[in-house]
Amino acid sequence: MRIPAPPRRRANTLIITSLVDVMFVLLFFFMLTASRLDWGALPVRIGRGGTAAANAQPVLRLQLMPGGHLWLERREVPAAGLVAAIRGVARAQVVVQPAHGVPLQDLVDVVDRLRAADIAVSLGAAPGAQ
Amino acid sequence: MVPMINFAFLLLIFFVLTGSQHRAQQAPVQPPQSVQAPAAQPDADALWMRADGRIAFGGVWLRDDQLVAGVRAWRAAHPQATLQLQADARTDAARVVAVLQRLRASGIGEVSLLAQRRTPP
Repeated sequence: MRIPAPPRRRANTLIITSLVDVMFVLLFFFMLTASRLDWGALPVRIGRGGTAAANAQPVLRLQLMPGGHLWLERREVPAAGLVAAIRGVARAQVVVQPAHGVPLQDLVDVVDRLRAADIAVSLGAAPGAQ
Repeated sequence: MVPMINFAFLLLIFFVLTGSQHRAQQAPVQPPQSVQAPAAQPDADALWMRADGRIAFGGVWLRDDQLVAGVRAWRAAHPQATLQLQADARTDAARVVAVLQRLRASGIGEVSLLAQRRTPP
């Protein structure tokens, strides 16, 4: 009695399963590590508080308080009227002074608004913060 | 099977070509969002600041008193470059300003704050 031999697999068949596995690993790696953030760099100028800035150019001090309150030269201004209040005073530059507890995002939002209105902005420490 | 592999290869090539793997982007911070920030790419040796105020430079976490020495060494190697600060959006802004003032006092004039650009509402 002859038992037929099992059909032999052809040696030159391309086995794509492992190839596809490796490719999927690569695909997931690049999908997970690729960053699609749109980055920007906001140039910042640092004021030295009262001393150096005072004799060069009169500056407006804008204090940022926690909760989004804005104080322009010790008077509270509504956020909507900020640009108008600054334009009402003929001074060239605004020093933004964030108080403790103000998140950086609030500072960037205010700087954004002033830059959009072509107002020169620098950053400074709040009085008593140093 | 073959069309699926073709499609997966297409996706793979897309992500390889369009994704940018920057070391600086792996900073464990969520940058603030800005409308006005001009487009820029983060440098590998940006200064990181976490939400709790801790600072790293070149990927190494530093104490405050180590910051000036590290940044001065960087300035000596890059006399013209602008230092990038990649701070978390929740960081205390007063702390950010204090660090910026310390950098300025140590002779780093040009600093830019990295942000995620968004379109105006």
